[in-house]
Amino acid sequence: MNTATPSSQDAPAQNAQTPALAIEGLVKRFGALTAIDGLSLTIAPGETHGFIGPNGAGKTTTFSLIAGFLSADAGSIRVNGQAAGDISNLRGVIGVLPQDALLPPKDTVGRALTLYARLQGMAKAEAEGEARRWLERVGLKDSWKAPCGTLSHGMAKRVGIAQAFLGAPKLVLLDEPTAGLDPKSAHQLRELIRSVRESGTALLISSHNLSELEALCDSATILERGRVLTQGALSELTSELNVIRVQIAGNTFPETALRDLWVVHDLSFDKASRTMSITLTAGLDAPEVGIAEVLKLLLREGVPVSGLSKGHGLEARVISLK
Amino acid sequence: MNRPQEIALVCGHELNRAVRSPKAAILFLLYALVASFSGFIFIHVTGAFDEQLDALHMRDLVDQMGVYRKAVLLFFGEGAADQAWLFQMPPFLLFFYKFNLFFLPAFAVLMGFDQLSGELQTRSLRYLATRAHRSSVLLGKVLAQFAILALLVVLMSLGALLFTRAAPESSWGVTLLGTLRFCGLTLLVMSAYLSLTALFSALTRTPLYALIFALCALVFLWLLGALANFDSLAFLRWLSPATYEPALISTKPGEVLPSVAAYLAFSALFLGGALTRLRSRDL
Repeated sequence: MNTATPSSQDAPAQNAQTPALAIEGLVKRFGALTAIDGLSLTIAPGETHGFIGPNGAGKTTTFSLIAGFLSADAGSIRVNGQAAGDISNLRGVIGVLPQDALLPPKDTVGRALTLYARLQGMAKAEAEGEARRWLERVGLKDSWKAPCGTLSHGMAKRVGIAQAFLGAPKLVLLDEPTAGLDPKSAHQLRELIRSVRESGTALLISSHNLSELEALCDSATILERGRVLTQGALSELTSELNVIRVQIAGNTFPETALRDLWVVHDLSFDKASRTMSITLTAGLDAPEVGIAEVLKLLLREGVPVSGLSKGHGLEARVISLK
Repeated sequence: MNRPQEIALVCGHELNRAVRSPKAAILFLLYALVASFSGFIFIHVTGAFDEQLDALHMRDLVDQMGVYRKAVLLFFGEGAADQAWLFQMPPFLLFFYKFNLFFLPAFAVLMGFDQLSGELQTRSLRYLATRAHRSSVLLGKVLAQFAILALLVVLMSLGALLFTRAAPESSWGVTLLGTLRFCGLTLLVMSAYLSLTALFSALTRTPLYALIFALCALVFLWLLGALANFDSLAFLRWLSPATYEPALISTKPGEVLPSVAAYLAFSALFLGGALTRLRSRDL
């Protein structure tokens, strides 16, 4: 799609091993405030990486630095093997959904998307076709002639998502992509993201919706006050505490018997979700040993088990880090 | 995609936006109306003056005293004394040229104050910034403003030219060449004011501030010229674009070229400032 981009003509950039995004020692200060403090991050082609943190953690600032909206005080950013900062390296290689940018209100949706596609190097007809294709994928094919200023928040967000994916970029940054979307649109967007992942596009997604990130991401970085608290594969982040979660159908279970099990170190129960969080004894050969012992006891006592998962939820993991 | 292509795409998009924009249409019409009304008053006054001269049989006397010549020199400066072509032009076209030079800077500011500040405020510039160089965005937008202004000047000049075509005292060739010259000079002068507008539009995220600052800058530049009337502050005149305006009508290259260079330098300075700010600023 982006045959005209310099990076696609660059042999090293074509290498499948080249990370879609490589950040080293990134620092950004706003006066006395250090918004990003030594962030390093690598995202492989096709990987979906979650960016997690409270408001003010530095997620949007990092996105802005990668996209070139802000300039860094220290560190390096390489997108698809090319130094970020020069638009010639980024054009068509990176797609961005900025969190707080409005679409040009007087432009029609079609005109705006066509301009963006053309600036990525496409001919007029190709650009229009690409714009229409993405508008259809986000469910807004009838909004081609609508002025951007008349769109609802959710519709504008979907147009923003369409422009981010124009031309099949190697890396797409999505800052709070489902914020403000109704549940159906949010679900459609998640499905869209899943389908895009299969095409090899790497995604960096920030969201406060942790269950959404848990469902979409391969890996994640948890930030606080500009510093990385932890990062890694999602399975590592959520399982390293040796915790299992067991959901039961009722509210009663043999708590004392469970606590007395040799594999159980600690136990808590959330009545609202009817979920036990069981921390297994350290030193087990594998968590599966503990899972088997717990399940055996519950089945023996006639407790109806409706679900089981290994590890903390992402939300619990984030909370445990604070 | 190279830079000229980027600039052309942004410029084309801006022109398209302007054509559909009520603001551009209203400003265009407003300017045309004010210019027509002022022209009407000018013609009415000069016509009444002519009638009085004829009624009092004073035309020969007035001609002998060179009243018209003195009036032209009053508006164009003593340096215009040896510009024969100027005195052969219909008076209405001279008035129209001066009218444009006085009011078009304000028109340029009103047209372009939000070209960047508006997109900085809504951050919609971010959608362009990942796809085009910031310099291309700036130049594309300024070129679009220039094209709109050029269209206005050409259309209005054409109207003025057709209006004066029947003037018995002027030859068609002289009038046509003079009008073309006035068009070119007006656009040269306006390039500096368009660049000034772009500078203030790049400096601030708030369109209202950009408008106020740009209008204040126009007043400031005018004040520089006025302050230069004091001997001790005479050097200030060189900082005001208006200082270089009278020499533009000269047919002598030694007089006109420095003034043309001065206007181009002002344009480059203001545009360079806008580009430096846009490149260094957070979007």
